[in-house]
Amino acid sequence: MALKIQAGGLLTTVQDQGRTTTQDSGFSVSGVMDFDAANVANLLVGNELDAAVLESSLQGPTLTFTQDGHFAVTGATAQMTLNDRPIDGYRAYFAHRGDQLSIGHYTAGRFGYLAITGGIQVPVVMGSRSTSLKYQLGGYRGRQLQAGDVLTTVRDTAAQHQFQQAVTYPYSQQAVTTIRVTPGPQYQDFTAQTRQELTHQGFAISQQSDRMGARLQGHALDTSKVTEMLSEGTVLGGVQVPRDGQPIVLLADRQTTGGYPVIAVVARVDLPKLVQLTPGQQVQFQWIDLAQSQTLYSKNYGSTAAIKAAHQFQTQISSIREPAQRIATLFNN
Amino acid sequence: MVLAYQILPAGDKAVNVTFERQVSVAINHQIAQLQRQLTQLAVQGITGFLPAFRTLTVFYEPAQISLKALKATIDKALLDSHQTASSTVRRVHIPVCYDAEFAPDLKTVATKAQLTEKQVIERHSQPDYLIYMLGFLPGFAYLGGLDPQLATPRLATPRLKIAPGSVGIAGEQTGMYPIESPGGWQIIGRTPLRLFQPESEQPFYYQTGDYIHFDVISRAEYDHITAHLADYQVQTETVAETEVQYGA
Repeated sequence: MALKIQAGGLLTTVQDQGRTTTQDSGFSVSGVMDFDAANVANLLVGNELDAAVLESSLQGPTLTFTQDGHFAVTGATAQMTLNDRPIDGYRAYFAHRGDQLSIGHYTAGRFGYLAITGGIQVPVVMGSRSTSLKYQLGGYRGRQLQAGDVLTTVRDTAAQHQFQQAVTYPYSQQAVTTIRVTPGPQYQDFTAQTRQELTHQGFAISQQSDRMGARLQGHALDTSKVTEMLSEGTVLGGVQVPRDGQPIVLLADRQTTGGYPVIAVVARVDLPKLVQLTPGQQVQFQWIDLAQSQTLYSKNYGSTAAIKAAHQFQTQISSIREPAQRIATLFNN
Repeated sequence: MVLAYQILPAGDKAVNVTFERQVSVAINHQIAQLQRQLTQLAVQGITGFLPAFRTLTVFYEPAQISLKALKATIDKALLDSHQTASSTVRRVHIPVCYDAEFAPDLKTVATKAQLTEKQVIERHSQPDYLIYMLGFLPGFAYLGGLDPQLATPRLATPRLKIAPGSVGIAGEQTGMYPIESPGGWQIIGRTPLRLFQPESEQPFYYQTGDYIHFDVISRAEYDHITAHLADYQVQTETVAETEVQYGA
């Protein structure tokens, strides 16, 4: 199967689970921002979870299939058409050679995903197919997609199937979204009052948020008691507090090391919710302990593995309802 | 003896093994040793490492190893490390040409140090520098061990472009730019090596805990290496720790 891009959208890149083996040499991890949505997209078309997908920000691409095969679109909500006929997200479809898929502006959520059976075939660079925009490496020629680009995938040999819609839009469209956090490595360096201030107010998602980090705006947190740090390794979802007191949640394209204190880390299961928020929406942090957070995570991880195991489907059209229901359990956190 | 440390959780999938807040050879060695030890043990559920000045971030999959079991594994590895502590380190030789064309700030450094340019080159290429951390750019090494007399403040106005391979000084640090980047370091030389080779099995020549030695080369040697880069073998030695000529 192959794809020809007609219009690249605003920021469409090839991403997978990220480039984790070279972060100890200073190379950013990258990878999909919303791994729940990307996982579901891959599961729907029968892929391994590490298969590369297309990620778009704010607006999806328009493209033509140059071979037959299955695809699924997940993540942010948009008007989507296959040859001008409306289609749903979170559902597998079979495209014929010459079919045109068009994904419009996102009306809810920020990052959308397109998975194709077999995954997007770009060269593996340092263990990953993810695009590093900063270093112009990996993905498709190290850059975002544009009209005329042709992406290859593997030949789709699965019989045609159409999964039930797995879930309806799972992300918050509310003005305020609760995001759970666990204490970060510098938690003890902040005063009890500052630790309270983090959860006793809402923070707005700033316009400056990007794949590197979600920049938040609120009543400034007091960092005056925090001693100067030596740089240390960063983690996904780390809530660092620079001198101006406005927190930044570190995301996929974060630098590998940082010198700002990390007061908290976003619970894994809440990261997809967070990255899908758009500027102006508010975050309300809530402290939970690590054991609680890891229990939530293990449940999510277990469900994903179970779906995967139950999902060695090729032709079982009769059982399509079941995986759809199982995928829905991913979001019951 | 095991240095004092704490194991601090950093979210669902990582802990920071955190040593005393200082830049020291002993802490750096302990971190490198711990990473080696855990790598050798091939612990189920440990997915990666990220060493820094005084921390080793250990990534793990909580579905495969519990936090409690991970902590016990790290404690044991640290306890065992003094028995298995290797007394050898890796020294990586980086050829550097200090010719004027590649060294726009050599004069500034010499003036500041009240030395001749030749003396600056001698002193810069004499010690073995320890890699405390890699970060900021891919393969950018925070090196310790610069002769204090060569310490020079950063440029007042950073350059917009520094060529890859440039070797410079900033305050009491020295380092190399693996890729083109803006920067305010005082540039005193350049290596013909490609310090970042993303297409290679080994994209970097060195890692945290290794020592770097700058070997002075002439302009002719620089050109020769550039012309035969694919065949160039970077000289790497395993030497006794006592043999290392660490400056600071």
